[in-house]
Amino acid sequence: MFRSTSRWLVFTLLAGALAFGATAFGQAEPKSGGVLRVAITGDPPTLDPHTSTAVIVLEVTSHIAENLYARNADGQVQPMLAASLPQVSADGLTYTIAIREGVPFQDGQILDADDVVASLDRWRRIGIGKSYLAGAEITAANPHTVVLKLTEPVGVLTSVLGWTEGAAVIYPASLVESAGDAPIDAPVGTGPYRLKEWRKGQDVTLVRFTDYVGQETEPSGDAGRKNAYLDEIRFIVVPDSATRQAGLESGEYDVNYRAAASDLELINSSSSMYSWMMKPGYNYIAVINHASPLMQNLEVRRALQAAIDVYPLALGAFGDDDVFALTSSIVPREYGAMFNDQAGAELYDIGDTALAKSILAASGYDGTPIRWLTSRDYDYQYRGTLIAVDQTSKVGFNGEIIVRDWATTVQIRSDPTKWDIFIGNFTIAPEPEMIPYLGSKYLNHYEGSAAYQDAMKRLERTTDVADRQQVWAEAQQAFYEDVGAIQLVNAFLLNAYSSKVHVQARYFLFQAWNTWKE
Amino acid sequence: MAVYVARRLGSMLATMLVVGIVVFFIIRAIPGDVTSALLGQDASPEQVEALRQRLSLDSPVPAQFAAWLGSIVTGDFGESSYMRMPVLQAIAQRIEPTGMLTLFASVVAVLLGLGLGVIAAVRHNTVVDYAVMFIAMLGLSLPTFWLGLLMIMLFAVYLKWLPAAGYVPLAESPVATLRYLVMPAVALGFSQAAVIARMTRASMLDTMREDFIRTARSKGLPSRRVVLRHGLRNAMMPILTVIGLSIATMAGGVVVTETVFNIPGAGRLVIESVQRRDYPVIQGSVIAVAFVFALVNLLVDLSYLGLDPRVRYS
Repeated sequence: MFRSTSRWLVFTLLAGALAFGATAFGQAEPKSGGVLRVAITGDPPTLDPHTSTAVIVLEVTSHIAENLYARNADGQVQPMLAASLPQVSADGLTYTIAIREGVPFQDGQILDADDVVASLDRWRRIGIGKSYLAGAEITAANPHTVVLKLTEPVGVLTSVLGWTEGAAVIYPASLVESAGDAPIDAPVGTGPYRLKEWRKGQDVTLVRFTDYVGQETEPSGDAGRKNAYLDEIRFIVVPDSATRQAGLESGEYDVNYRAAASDLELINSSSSMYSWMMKPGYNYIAVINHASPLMQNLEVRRALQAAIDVYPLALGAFGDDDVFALTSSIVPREYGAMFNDQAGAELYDIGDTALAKSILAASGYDGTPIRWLTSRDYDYQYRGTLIAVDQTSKVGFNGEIIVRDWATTVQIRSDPTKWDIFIGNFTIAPEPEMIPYLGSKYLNHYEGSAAYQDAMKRLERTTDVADRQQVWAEAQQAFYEDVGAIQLVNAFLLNAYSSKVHVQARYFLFQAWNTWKE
Repeated sequence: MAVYVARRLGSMLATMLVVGIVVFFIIRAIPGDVTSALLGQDASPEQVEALRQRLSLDSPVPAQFAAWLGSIVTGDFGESSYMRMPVLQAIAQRIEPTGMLTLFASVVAVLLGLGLGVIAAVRHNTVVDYAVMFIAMLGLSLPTFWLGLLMIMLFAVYLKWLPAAGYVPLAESPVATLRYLVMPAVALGFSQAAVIARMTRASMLDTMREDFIRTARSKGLPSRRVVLRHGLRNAMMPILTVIGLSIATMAGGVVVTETVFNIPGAGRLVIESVQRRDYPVIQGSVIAVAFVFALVNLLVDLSYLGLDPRVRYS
């Protein structure tokens, strides 16, 4: 009796382990069909990435339209609609881009060089392309080759053309012509899903584009093969996070896009759902307004830098240390070559009250309150600010907290006379030139020291990756020494999935291709 | 009568115009504009300025007001800056969920409120009365969102009887509409049921002490007939006023319920538009809410005619 029971137990355990292995490690065979219901936080302001850098825009539209290039999971740029990486002339001024042949748009047209020329021209006219292609000549050398002639070298150009935020997606030339500069509400692209319906304020429904012709390389990050297993992806606007989570638990939704960190334990303890931390998420930093007279005093900035103790601040802000990571690197590891956690690391996370006091004493600080701008619309901003004010008050700073709703906060931030420091999440990019707060045209008005400016100017003209790493290390060191901003943590984004949803290749952006549902 | 209704309709239009003008200036006094929502937080000051110009947000407020007033008198409420569609179309798309939710919540509130109020009055100063009034107090005190979340946890997450959130249009499936609306209607209607129950109880207690009730009882009429036919009918005037106010309150205050149950209704549209500073939609929605309030008030006033023959409007 005992023997047969133990045999039965061993058999059961083995069968259970096999079943678990098959599910947990994605061994099960992918299945076509089904509708993926994704509960998203808000209505996308547009479905035209040329006109918005909002993350929700790119995460919906990346299924519809594609760029010339895409980044793989290691942060390397790979061809997407381009046939290969561009040929760059020796002087760095001419880019020759071969376009893949026979790629259909969702309206039946076939991609050619004219579509690329029209789209890049529009992206440069109304989007972030202005910073990289201003004054450039964009022409079609033949139906499958586009030539970009720049007026000065842009070391980061290929990378930008493969970037997702404010993406340089390729539309048919006819759509570009009819839309002009107005946002496109019904985008047509070459992606694995096409737009079926956008009910503004309610949902966006995409359906499989059956004629999709993609890359054949292994899926990795944004690059490679895109298998459209799902029949339909429905992005449903559910602003309340408790409702998104309850809907996931009840089976109403398959994905809770941006679950609350406080639900992490619950999600991980359940067998019907799993959590997925989208790393690296955002850079949570204290942006300094360099146009403010008080903040122009380097010693004041250094005293602030020395006073901040990052871990307790981030823990208080986010509530769980599983959802952030301390890093001194401005470009995170996941974004590839520009990662550097050495340059300036000694000035990161100092948290030394005595040191901060001595620097402040020598700074000539007269007790003028530092105006910390924040919004309770994003709890982590508000809580982090409270802790930062507390930490800096211990070394002798006076703090004034300006709390406003988000739209007002944005308005105040644009007026350099009204604030000193703002703590919040900022988008990270793979190249320093693409990170707004590192440049002088952003709301923090940061020009930087002579050493910083010199390094950044050289970086802008450098294309070779190894050279760029070297120059960026100099710039990052100078940024820390100059206290351009106070680097805090990478704040991850938490998504929660139903256990019935399987994702073959994980990336730090939401993707529903290479995803299937039981 | 017809003159009275025409005069009331005229004053309704004037009210809506005044409300519209007040809202126009109040929302422009609040800092921030729609560009922050449209462009994303990494937008450069140049991009923001370009968009402000395109949306005419950089023109002086008096000029914006003149343009708005000029179009509003022709019935043109303008176009949503965020959704890029006519305001009336944006509101019209959201009317059905809000209308259905208000309707169902009103049914819940009226049935529950009248029923409990009458029972409490008939069983005055007994355990039943105290229990009913305790429930009414609970209804008044419980925040709608909390009651809603509790119901979602119980009926959707644990028991899986009802869908957690969302809305299915009536034309698609009336049964599904009902299933999706059960919880939000109860959550929204419960607090108003409490208000109606308390008013019903008080009014019924007053009425039941009247001479004609004693006369009815002494004629030997059955108790049920005395309570419902003679008591409730005569107690209805103040109750009806409260019901009217409750319905208008629910129609204008559905936003919390719509958010918790993720119903894409007009209430949520207003809140989202305020957060985005989508001026044309805020103005249009507030005027629409004022219209509903005024209309319900008018209908309540007209219903007095049917209840009390002594009421005359001239």
